[in-house]
Amino acid sequence: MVDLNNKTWPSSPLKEKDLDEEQLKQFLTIRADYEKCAFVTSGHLEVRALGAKEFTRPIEPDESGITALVKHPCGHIYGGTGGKAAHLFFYNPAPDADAVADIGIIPGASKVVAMAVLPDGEIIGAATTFEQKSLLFIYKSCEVLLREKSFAGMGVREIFDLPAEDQLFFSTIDPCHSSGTIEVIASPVDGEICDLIPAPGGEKVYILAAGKGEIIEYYPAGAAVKKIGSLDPNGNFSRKLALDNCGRLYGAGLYGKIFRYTPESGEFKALDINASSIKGWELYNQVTAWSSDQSGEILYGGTNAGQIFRFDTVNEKITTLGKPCIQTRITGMSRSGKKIYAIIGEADDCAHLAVYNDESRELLDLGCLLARSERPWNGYRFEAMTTGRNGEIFLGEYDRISQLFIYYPGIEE
Amino acid sequence: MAITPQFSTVVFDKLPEHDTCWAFIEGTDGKLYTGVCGEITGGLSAYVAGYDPQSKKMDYLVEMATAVGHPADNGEATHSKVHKCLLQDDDGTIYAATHCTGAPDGDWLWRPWGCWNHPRKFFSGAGLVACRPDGEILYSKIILNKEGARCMALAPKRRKIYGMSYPKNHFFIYDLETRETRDLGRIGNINPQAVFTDAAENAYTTDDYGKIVKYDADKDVLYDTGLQIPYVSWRNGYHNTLYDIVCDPDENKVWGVTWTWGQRLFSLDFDTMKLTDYGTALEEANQWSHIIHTHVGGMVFGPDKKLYFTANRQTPAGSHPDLIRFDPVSAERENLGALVVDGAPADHIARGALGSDGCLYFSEAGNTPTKLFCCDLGFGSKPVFKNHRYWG
Repeated sequence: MVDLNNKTWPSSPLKEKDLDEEQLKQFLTIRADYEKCAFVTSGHLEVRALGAKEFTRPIEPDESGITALVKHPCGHIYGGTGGKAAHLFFYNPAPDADAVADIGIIPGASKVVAMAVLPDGEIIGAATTFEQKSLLFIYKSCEVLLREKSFAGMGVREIFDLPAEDQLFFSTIDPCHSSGTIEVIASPVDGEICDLIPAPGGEKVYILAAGKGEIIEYYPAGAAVKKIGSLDPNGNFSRKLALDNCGRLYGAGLYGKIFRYTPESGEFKALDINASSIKGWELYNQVTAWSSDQSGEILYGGTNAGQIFRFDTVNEKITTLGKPCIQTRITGMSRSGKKIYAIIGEADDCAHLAVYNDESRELLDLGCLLARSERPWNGYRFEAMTTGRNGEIFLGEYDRISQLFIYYPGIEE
Repeated sequence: MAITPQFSTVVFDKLPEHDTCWAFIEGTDGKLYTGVCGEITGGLSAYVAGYDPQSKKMDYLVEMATAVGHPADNGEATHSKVHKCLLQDDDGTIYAATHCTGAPDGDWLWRPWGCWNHPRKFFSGAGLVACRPDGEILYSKIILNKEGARCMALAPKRRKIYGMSYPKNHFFIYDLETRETRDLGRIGNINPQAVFTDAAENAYTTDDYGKIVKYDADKDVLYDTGLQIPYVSWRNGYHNTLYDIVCDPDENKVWGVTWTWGQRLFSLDFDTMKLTDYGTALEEANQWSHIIHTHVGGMVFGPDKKLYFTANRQTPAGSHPDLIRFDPVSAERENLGALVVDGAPADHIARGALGSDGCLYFSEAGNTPTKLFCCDLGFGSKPVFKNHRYWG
């Protein structure tokens, strides 16, 4: 038993006998501010469920962790998930939609790791399988399928009802939605794929394989493969790739050392620069997200330490911009106008959104993510980010039940 | 002839700064156990206390913060709260787990989001203490990462504890044999205030919209049952989560009330999985701006097999609870009057329990020092019911 006799207790400042009215009022003001201070207040956040429940079936819990997002030129956002099954979904921003629809399960996949849009509008993606191998997939939207469509033998009504795009239509009478087809194709690598990025022109795709960080050129048309090089023999490499405006490919190896592949010359070279690191953490240093400025000459990188850096690809110079918050692991970066947004947090954290303003050189912690619409929802863990056609930032939540977050940056002063 | 309720209080006068008692259970030894919490003053620890209605003696079994290795004055967010996370096994072993919201020593405000990665003011995570009724601590362990334990239920035969985490609202299972926690993932955004079990020790709770989420223990799956606990017509069900729920004394069913404005009384029959809505718990309030205005809790079956609960009512003197008697057969309600002792009304009531002396006891939240309210209806003794509440 606990003996509480003669125990002394801390006391609340609110119980101080000589607190005056001004002090009490300040306490109340502090409390009101404190309840909200951790959350993003600059700009506006919303969430969308992964499936409009009004007339579609949302992606099931345990299958909805968003692991990849990509903007399609048509304005749609396509996403991939991970969990007990891996799904593809799309967000249609049209006024009669503004919602997500599940496209379906990618057979054999446990997690989508990367997605990219090819010049013809198809989407290529890479996924991890349940056997810890990899697969590639091609998604053809309704728009792509319509291009390939023959109308021979079809009736008028059948033609009339053909969807011209991936859509959600909240009609007052006949709500409907439509999506395209997923085709799984064999992976050109034995193990897992870390990242995938199409070369300009789209005739080939760069693939970063797990293991030694081997980078290959893959030609979807003929399934041809060409090896470019490896990032690290012991697997100490960054799992993300980036392209500059000249089509040169970048990755990072041990200590965050930057590698460059120049397709014209075929040169694969370790540059004499490393991604920014916290002193003493160099061994663990990885670039976990990339973005770029409007020109594509300047790349921005985010690291697993939570640092953001600027990489001048012309002058081969890295400038450390800083670490906007105490959280570590940048899981997504994307540009809106002249600002670079980053989402930062480990799997068990409360992630923070941060922004770097290239004009003011200001790096800001915007806070934790909390939305009120379309339902109240706190976002804790995120694994993907991209920018929509109106400069809004899409963030992919990764949880048992996950939402697609949409961040509308504030109006410039 | 109707007996006028006689109210008295059991004040936790040894804990002058503590202000809430959320968990409240009937012990196997005839004692009533609660967690005495301090939420408004920083640097306090929660205490597990046991009250013997026969001897009128209060024992303080465990100081939780020290027991879990994070003393209340160490500068971290404190283990100052045992929310609906106090359980007792059939062999008498008590399990208590801590919740967060108590500020570090010297502070008076704390929330998890802002302090999640704070190097000093973070919360270490819910600490579980297993102890004997005499206060002997068997072991303690941090069972969640930086989150508090909001509510828990015991599955004695399966040797598991089911619970909900705060703030991330994950359903977790703590294995009493391996002493490991397994996270089954998020079920929503708003914490329910109870996890309850059926005879097979499956677990149930509610999501943001009051939909009943079931953990099927044999299949090891967590899923939405499609059942939704009732809510008033002018709301959409959001934040209409489960607040309090008790076993029917004899039948294979439970009786519960919802949280926040328009609190509904309902039953869930496990045999048919049928929910029955018994309407607004007491009365509809015309105005509402705070949970306390219409709070309903403290559910307990009396020796007469009537269901008793408290319901806050708004009066010119403030919002305070009345004691309500509900007849499960006729569905009639009777207001037995306000919980007032020496002119001091209760603030609001979290849980109810039946004492070995046949009196109804209610754990209060919101006053300092905090206390139990005792209501003597002249029953004199406690009968043995078929069903037992294994949740906090």
